[in-house]
Amino acid sequence: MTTTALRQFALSTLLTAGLPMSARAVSDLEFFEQKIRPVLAEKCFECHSADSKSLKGNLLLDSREGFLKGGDTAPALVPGDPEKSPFIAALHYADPETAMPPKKAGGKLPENVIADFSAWVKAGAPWPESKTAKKNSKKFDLAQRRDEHWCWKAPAIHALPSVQRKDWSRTSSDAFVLAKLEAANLSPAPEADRATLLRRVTFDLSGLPPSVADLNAFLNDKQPNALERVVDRLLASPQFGERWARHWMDLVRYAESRGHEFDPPIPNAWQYRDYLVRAFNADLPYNAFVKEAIAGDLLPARLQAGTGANESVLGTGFWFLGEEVHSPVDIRQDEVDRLDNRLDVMGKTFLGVTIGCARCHDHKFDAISQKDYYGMMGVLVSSSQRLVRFETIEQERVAASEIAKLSIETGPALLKLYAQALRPTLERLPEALAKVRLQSEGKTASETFTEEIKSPWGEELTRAKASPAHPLHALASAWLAPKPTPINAQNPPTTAPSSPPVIIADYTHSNATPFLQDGLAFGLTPTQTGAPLLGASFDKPLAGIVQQSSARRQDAWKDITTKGDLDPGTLKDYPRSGQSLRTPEFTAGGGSLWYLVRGAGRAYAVVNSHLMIQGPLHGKTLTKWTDSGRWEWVQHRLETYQGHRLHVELMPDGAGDFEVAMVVESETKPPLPECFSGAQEAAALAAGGGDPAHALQRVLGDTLSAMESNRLADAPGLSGFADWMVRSLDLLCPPASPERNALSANARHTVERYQTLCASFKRQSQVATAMFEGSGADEFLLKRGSPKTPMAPVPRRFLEAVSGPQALPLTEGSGRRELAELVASASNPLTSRVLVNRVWHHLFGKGIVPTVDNFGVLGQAPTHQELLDTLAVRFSSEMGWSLKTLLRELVLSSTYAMASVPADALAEEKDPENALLHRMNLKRLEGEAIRDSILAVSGRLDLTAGGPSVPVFMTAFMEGRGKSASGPLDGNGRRSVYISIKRNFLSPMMLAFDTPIPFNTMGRRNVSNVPAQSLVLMNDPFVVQQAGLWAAKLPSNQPPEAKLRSMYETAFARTPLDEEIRDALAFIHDQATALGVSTSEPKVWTDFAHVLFNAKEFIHIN
Amino acid sequence: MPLCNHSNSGFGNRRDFLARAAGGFGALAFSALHPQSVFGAAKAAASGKATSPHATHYPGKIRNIIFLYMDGGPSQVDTFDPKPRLAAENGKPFGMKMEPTQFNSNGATLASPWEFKQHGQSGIPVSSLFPCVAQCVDDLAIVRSMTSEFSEHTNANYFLHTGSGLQGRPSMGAWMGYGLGTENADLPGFVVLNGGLIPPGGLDNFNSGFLPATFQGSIFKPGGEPVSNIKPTEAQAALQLRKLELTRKMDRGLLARFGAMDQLESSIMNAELAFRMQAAVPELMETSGESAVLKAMYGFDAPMPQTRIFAQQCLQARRLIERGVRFVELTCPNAGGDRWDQHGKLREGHENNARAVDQPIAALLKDLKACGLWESTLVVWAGEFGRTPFAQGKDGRDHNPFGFTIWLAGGGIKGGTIFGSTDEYGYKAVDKPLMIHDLHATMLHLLGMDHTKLTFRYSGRDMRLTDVHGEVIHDILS
Repeated sequence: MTTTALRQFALSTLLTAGLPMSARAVSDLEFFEQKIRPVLAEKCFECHSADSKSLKGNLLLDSREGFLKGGDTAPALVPGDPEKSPFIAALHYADPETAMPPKKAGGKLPENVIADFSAWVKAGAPWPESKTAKKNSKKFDLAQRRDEHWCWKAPAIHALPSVQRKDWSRTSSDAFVLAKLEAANLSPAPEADRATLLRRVTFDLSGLPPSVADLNAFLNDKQPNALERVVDRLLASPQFGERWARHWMDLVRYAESRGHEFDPPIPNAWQYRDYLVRAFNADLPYNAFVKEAIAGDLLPARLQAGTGANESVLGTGFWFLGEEVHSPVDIRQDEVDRLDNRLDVMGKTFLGVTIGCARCHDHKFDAISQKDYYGMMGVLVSSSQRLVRFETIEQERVAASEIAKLSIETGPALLKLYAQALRPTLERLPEALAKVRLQSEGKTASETFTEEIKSPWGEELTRAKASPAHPLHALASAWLAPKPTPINAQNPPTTAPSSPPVIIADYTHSNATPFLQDGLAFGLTPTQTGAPLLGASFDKPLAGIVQQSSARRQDAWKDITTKGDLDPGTLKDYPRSGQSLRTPEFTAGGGSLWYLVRGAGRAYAVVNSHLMIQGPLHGKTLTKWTDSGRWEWVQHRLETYQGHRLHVELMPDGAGDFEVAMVVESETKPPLPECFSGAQEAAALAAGGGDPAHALQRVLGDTLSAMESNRLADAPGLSGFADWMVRSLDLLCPPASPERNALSANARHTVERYQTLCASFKRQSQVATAMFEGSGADEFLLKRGSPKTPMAPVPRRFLEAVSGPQALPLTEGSGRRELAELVASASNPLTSRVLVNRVWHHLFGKGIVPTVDNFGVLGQAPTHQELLDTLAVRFSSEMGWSLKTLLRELVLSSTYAMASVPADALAEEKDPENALLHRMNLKRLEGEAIRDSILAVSGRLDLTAGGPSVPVFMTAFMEGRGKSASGPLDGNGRRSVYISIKRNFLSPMMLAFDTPIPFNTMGRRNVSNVPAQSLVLMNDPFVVQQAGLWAAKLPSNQPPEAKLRSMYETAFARTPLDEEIRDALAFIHDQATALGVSTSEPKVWTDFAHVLFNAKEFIHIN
Repeated sequence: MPLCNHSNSGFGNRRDFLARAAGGFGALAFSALHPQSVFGAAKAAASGKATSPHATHYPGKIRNIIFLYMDGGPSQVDTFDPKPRLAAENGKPFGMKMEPTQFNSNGATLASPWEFKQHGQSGIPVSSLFPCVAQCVDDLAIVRSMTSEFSEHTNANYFLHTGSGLQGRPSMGAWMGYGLGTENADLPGFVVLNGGLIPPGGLDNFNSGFLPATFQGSIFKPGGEPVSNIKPTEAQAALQLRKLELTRKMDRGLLARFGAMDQLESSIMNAELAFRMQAAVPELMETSGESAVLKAMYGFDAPMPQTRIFAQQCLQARRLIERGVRFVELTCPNAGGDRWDQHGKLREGHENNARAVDQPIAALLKDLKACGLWESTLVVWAGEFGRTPFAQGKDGRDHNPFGFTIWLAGGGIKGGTIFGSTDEYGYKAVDKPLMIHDLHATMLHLLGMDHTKLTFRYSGRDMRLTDVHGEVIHDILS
């Protein structure tokens, strides 16, 4: 097309579209790209492009040729003549047969869009053949992108560049900086004076100003390594961890509430914050830190010194610091959004790449495919939230293992001891039963049923008769009738269900189902039929015998309690923590869930990992039931979640026995298997026929033999009798009898060992939000990011550009452990670079890569790549991933020691952005550091570390649902890192000074200039209050000049200039006069303190 | 009629200001400082954009927006979108497939308890909930086919305000400020006049997200202290002034020692602005100079206290745009019955909410005309979604994002128009369905900005208020 034609085209389309003439900047090419191609891509390409799965009507609409060639019928358009173009007629829905796009693609296009198409056809249907078009149609080539962009290449150590000024460099970093300066013909700024340097390094490492004592000590220290000692002191101070934890909190969008309508708390979020503080103070190697964040629950536990608490699991709290939506109507969309945020935060924080951009399509610019995105999302999808008993979980793990061992070691012997003690009762059995029979003899049926027969045996049989689950039920029914009858084998076979149930979890066979749980309450494995249950009393060395293999809450865990916040909302009443049995992930098929359980319990169906259950919409995901005293199927109706992915957490309700045998999905109630219904026991009794008393004698005799030979598991039904005998010890083997005494004496040692083990872990544990490992599931690739268009699942893996396209080598579990290894690997080109760059950013005010969270194509290029690479490699090798080692080296460098005033004015012209670091950057203190400084100089600072946050002070402007009580104006003097961060009630002072809104990774804070900042410092009651405190602690007998000198030193770590002293004294005099008081009056000094807070020097470090 | 004084701001350049400032900082009284150059400097703001007025992509038709935010979601079928079929089938099972709703306790078809009548020359029907606004119907462009992606308040609020359902994106007012800069150096460019209710999602609905904090919405409260920390704590102005003068000297010393660094300079300048705001804000809020007749028209004497609150807000909205504030959003007063969110007691709740806003809104429209601000101001009335045409329980309506009504009026708007339609039950938009992005695109367009070009680089992407969506609604433009 000629240029003129193009111009006409532009004009005509713009007139058609009714846009003002001034919008005519769009060229034809842009018009096509903006108005035509996107609509084609969205509405037509699914069925009419080379990439279509099945091409409809043989019509290609992804090129001009395709349009002109047309499909099965005729050319789709006539260039220049929209009226004769079938394509345009189809858009107008002229004929229902050919109306396009179809309903499923959104139906008829808006009129203005159709008008765009008409205009386009009228103009000759121009289709750019330019580079742009080629670029757009070009396939996403991951390998090419990886090879073309620096960040994917492994960093290497570079040789030190040669420099002219041989005496300037103190560290290897300096040489790289200096070489670039010299190449640009720039000189580094002179070294900052010592006071400036002290103030700078003290803020950078501790977030607080140096005290006057620190200042004087440093100024008077003439030793050559004075600065090194200051740095070592600061790195060792507890305030170091607080300072650097806050930096990290910006990355993981730390908050203590979930935002949204009611801003519910994230339970115990502060435990994660304290974990960070401890990790930075302990200088946890960064690669270990990364692994703990991603999979701290799956690694060998790193224990807290002293308490033995599991420290590493706390690292996983970061996944759950984001928003949670209560009652989303589209629960799956909500899950995808939550996981997207987690993945995005993880990618930016650790890898410095925007994985989130590959949610809807392959990344537009970086070597990140949509498959990468969903391969990584799969790693997250089966892991969910829990409140981990981190304090006691490792003790519990040891106890559970020891108890299991003890049970295996001593079980057979105990069974034998019991058999010996019980054997004599067999002889007395017919007589005892006959007595009961005599008592009931002659009574009417109703009398026998209603009136309890007064003897231990009579009571037991009455109970047995009333309870179908009792192993003696069949016997009692026959025996306590007005006339004895033969024992009946009960339970006629139930009709088989119309369709067989789908088994979700089966705990009746070990290893049939992954044994997943939060905590150790269910032991290490399901319990096995016939296994003895250790007892804690000398009188009764066994608590019972396992009747049916199942997941059984162990007795030693019946009285565990938690300390700390529980889940908000309806989940609060669900005692999940430390005693949840977790089914594998599965997709709901549309029937009810049925739990085969014994004992009171509760179940939480974690549909799409939805947590914020509140209101009626998803209340059905929770259910509970009472103890019926027998095995039963409990129904959980979840029909509405057909097609959704979920797992179920089952937990005991109260201290009674709690056992789970199976979880199935079925439209109708499944039949109760024989071994759960008591039918086997009845059959055993009925088998030999004859007199019931002798039948019982025979069966119990068989049971004792099986106990002696530890073969209960092989004899159907006998475990029930064994359990009954063990539990009925007082009836069968009376206390103080010789047999009983012998039993107690011989079992004494085992009971003692069991008691010791039970007491070996604390019953109450602090809990913290952490990951709960699931059974693993691959996520579907979601076309255009929409859960409504799932494509094939993507095998779980890491970024192809880093570790290749192969799936993670997984046998079980989510894959987080494997992912953590890949992220934290020294061969990963991103991780160490990103961290080194973050440290550089905080110390120098700007990263070597200024876009600290984005190393991709759209990020900024490194200003000193050789320096970055060298540091990155040294960090992960020679420095052993030690943050403190890295920091120490950098703050002792000549680069760091430069003044913020340039060597000469020309430098600012040549390097206006200070990209080459010809001087130190001036830094505005963060909101937290400003507030902490105010507290420090006023003397109010309370350096207490850790613990639950102090509630934020609620100003009149902090309103909304979920508002809680206000905290104190001064936050009890605690450092800002310990003030609560509620998403919907963020501190206005922090917001004014650019503390990030916690929704995504923010490695580089805004540094804005807003009047609200000045208004805070001028008029905020907190600031005024602290000025008063400062003034009040000044020695009243000090002469004014001495006072203000010390205040200058406290506020700015320097002595005032003569001119400043003059101005200040004049102010003191004038203000005192205006107030009508003497110059020693604290009010006057309060005003002066307030002035110092408002001076720009107070909130800047140079 | 009131005095409609348009504030005149002449715009100088920052270097001039600095030259003067460096020459005689102390001598210049704070209030005498040139207003424009103050609000953050180009290089210091993370965006690289200053807040002074920018050239737009093309000449805008309007300069200001007043956004009347109807928190909770007013019912379309009870206000501006009459559906006779609801009356015909009242109490019968609903005739369409129901989507999941927030509470899933869906009842029968529910007729509107209010009568609709045609008004004005256009004959557009309005329900008896809005007798005063109905008098202005010829000025309104009523969009009956708005949709949202979310049927839950917080998501939907974020979506309405930021174009995204999640927390943390910049609010539309912040985007407009970012795109246009401000015309009044004594006031923020984006003001939220808070009537008492904070919408679900909290103040983040008005935040600047990843845009520099300069652009965040400033919350002004009715009565008392309207802006956080705006009241000096000193007993007399002279005491504060003396403190500020000493601060000034110290800062000047700092500049002398460090050189003229942008960051410090702009920080110093925003202290000046803060000082001026201490005077400008109370002056703004002080309405004693407005005539009694005008105030009565707004509803200052209305029997219902909430009407009186909203009347103040509407009048202050006019005063704000008069003073060059670009984007003014009004939130509703608490009229009882939980905002416009009538899950039950529809009649009582909607009546109270409508009574609180009807008269003041109509007065605002008339006043804008009288003041000559009509052509340069867009007024938008919108909730975050509509309500279901079937009942929730017996007498409520649940959230309905599938089709609801908003209206626009003022500069560039074709009054007396109806755009789009819902189905015969008023449940889903069927003709010309729109997205919130289209509203945003239209607002930007009227201000002279191409929504596809107003971008901010963040997180590796050129972010837009309209994300990757949005079409200007040309049919309602004059």
